Amino acid sequence: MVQKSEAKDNPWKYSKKLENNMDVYDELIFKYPPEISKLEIINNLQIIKKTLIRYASPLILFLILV
Amino acid sequence: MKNNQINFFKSGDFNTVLKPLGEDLKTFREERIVKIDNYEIKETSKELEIGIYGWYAICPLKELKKNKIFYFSMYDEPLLLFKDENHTVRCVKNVCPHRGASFFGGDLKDGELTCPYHGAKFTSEGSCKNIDRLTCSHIIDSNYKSYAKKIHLYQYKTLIKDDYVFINYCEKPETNISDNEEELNPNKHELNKHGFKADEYVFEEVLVDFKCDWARIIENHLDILHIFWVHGDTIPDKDVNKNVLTSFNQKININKDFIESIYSYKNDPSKEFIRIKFIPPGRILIYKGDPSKSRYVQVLDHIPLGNNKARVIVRHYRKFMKNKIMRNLVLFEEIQRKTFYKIFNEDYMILKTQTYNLKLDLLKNDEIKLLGEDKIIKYYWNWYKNQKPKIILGNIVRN
Repeated sequence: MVQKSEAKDNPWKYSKKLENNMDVYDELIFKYPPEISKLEIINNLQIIKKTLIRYASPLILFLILV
Repeated sequence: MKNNQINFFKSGDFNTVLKPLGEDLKTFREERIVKIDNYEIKETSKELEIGIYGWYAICPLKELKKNKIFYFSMYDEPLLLFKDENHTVRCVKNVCPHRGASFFGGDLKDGELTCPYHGAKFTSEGSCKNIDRLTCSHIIDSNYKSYAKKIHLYQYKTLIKDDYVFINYCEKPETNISDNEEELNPNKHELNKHGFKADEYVFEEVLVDFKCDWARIIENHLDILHIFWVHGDTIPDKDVNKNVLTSFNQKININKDFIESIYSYKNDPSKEFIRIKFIPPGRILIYKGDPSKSRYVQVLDHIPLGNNKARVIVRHYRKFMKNKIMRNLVLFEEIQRKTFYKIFNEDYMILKTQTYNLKLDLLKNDEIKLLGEDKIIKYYWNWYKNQKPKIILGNIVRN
């Protein structure tokens, strides 16, 4: 007789005890996108910043000098 | 009126995804189609030996900073990782054995963990260093001292492999971690043993967090057909887009360590398009073409943080753009990360709605048909739901 792994291993033993409002660890654990977008925003800002520094600033400098 | 349905079924085909249909419905049906025409299954073993307990890659090693605690959870059990004074990675249950508080807000210095509640200090081996300071002889009974001496951190075994921190998640953490090398070796996960030499590649990686079911994310990554449809505009590969005109043959290998699905072009069966390998409990390898010649390999590690909580470590190994100066000049790494985030955002709503439907018991066989159609997904769910009651952790068999 094949038995379900979840029934035997019982990996959700902690979840079963959780109430709906027991999300105390969520704030501690979630830190990456897409759930927490902070790192995604930082990466987008880095792209804008580095693009400006590498490509736009020499052009601006050149225009100023001319 | 436009018909935006994705039609998984077409008489005679195994898996078929059609473009949204408009006025020119017939033209799309005939031309713009991704399908798996025939499949072949090779079984060297009827089932995978590795169960839901086992070695999980938890984070890249670089995420662990000196004297900083990395908090996470496994199946809702709160855990933490840190590097001790000997640079050994420790995985500790995030519950102080003194009074049951979390170590959050506590201190970590040179491998010594201090609880924020009463200042109980624990060595990296797990014993309490200042038990005498915690007990006040005038307010405790005579049994307390002998009881208090037994307080000890609970830990899971850890190992560093290919710059990943692995933990051996098992039924119960231990107070006395043995360092038996044989037992420690998660050799089934070692990248070099899966057909490509990791040191010949460079890689970028991101970590992504989801509020959805862990098992559904694995299913999503085993499902090749959604890639064309959902990510067709995002993936920078000319072979993958919504208007692709391709047909695949599928070959499935099943053995005790992994299940593997190989997709080759129908018009040139010797040429592999993609190979997907699932190594339980949480790793998926996606090769672009034959592993020995593959230009890139994606390594996806799925971490079951808890009920409705999951994390994926995405590592993209590639043989091109290896020059660092060139990479910096074209902002390759930043753009790659942006692409990863976009791809996972595209999946997120699908995964959240699937999870919701699952919780509401809406994913019944008569309401969805995908499980019956995609053979690798079917094998995966068989593993997940119907294993025999045995777990193999490294070389140890526990009944």
